[in-house]
Amino acid sequence: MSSDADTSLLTIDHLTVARGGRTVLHDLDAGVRPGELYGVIGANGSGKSTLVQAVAGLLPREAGDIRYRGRSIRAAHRRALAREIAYLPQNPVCHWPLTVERLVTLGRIPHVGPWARPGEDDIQAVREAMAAVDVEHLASRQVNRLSGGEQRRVLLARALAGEPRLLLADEPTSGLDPYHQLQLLEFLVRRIVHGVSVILVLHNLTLASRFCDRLLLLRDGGALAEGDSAEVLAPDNLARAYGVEARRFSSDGQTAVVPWKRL
Amino acid sequence: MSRRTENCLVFGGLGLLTALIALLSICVGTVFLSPARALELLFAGEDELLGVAVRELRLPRTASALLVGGTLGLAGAVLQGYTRNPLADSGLLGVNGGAALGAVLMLYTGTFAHVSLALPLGGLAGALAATLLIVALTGKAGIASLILAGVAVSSLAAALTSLVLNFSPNPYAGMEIVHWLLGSVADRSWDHVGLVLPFMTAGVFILFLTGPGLRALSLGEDTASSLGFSLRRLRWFVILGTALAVGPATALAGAIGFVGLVVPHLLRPLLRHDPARLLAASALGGAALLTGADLLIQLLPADREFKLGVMTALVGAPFFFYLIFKIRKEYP
Repeated sequence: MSSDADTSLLTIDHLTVARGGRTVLHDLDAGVRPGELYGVIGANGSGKSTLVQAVAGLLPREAGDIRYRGRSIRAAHRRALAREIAYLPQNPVCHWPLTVERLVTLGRIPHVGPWARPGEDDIQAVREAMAAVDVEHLASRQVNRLSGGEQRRVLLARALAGEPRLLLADEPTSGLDPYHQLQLLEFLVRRIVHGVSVILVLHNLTLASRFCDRLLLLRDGGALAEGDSAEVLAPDNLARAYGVEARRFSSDGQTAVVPWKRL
Repeated sequence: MSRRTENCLVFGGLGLLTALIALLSICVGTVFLSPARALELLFAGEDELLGVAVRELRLPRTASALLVGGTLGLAGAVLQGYTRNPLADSGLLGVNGGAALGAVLMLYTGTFAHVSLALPLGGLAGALAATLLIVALTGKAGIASLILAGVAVSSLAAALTSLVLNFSPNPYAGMEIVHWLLGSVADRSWDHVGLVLPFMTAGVFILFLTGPGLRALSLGEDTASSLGFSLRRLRWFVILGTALAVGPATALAGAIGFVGLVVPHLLRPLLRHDPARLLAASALGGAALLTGADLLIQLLPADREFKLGVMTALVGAPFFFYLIFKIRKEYP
């Protein structure tokens, strides 16, 4: 069991997950505290996406447990859990050319119920979610006609519209230019202020060190390191997890970690 | 425009259109009736001979067209929503193929000559067999394998239907089979309608239950699941609902294509691409389209009546061309 089981929002306890006959996560322990931006990093295939999918309840577990606020998510009611935890997949899509407002409203489904119409609360929550990621002005546009950065923000607004306590975001910055990467992470940090906890899968070590409160470094489905960003991003760890040498650059008292060359 | 007025306009318009076409189709026949006279005859007493003819001959035909069209439109919308592919329709699951094979076997063996309900019963049995085969083939796997299983079962059913034709005892039996396969709602009686109605009602009810799940599925399978939907239950509803609704529809009217493909397509923009509201609209639209096609057939001067399936295919195939041009423009 994780040492900080009492204070943690989410406890991952000896978790083992297999996909297609291959064990992807093996005996993993980790814990997410309330109100933190928790980064999950690691090489391709190290199990980052599998971890967030397991937390979202999308994958069966072989062994171990995932506890949200002390209760196993296996025991939780599906809809009740959907109201608490929102999941933004790695390549979020919208298959039909819905308007932005209607797409964001889909995030209210766990609150509205399948047959009811969205009420005042729901409309308010949708507006707030759109405002939080600055897409209000796009409300009546068709989502397929937006730029990549706008689409990402709209899909993030969809996830925020459910007013989750925990947001799982799988590489939300992939494919975005530096401006929009920074913008998206700033939106996430602002959500933290509003009491939302975020589990964020990232490839960019510089962004991870700059924005995340704590990091989990995965290697071959296990935790290589978990803790404060500076400790986790130690050269040793990065060499073992990625096989790269990283350099540190300081400016105004802040340190950036940049992968420099292959080992 | 508010969502409520928009709904009123779309559903009110479609309902009115369907009712109008249904009324016209009762007026048309060997003797033409004015709409007022047709309505009067519908509620006339037993002693009015024309009234009996309208109620026992024309009304079942109209009811069959409405039921079959509505079912095909609805099932098409469900399958397009489920696969998130605008080119899907109920034929994708192979249930129609199974139903056609069952009915054709009845024609082949000549059973229909002795039992008037043999054809629809055979169709129901065929649809059931096709469904069981699809379920066995798919197991617990996802959408892609369901489509593959559907294609496989369709091909098998088509091959076996050809085999039956190949061995048809005489040219007349062969002609009979081909004619039935072309699809029609002519000369259907209330017995036919009554036989398939319970199954269709159950199927249509189940298909309507898929609406909220289909709406969530706009965001992909993982997100829909994270919003609290059980994808497994949704898949069962799609398979079971399609089998119960479309199998009997094929048993009643033969193989009728394109309605399930075209109707959801035409109506989707009116409902702002919402897969859930599209279901009821497609049911109404399908009913209107097929009843309209049947009305057109009855109005066309011909020694030999146009078959309904031929009419829908003649309209549907050019629509396919149009779709290709549209898709070419959107994704150059």
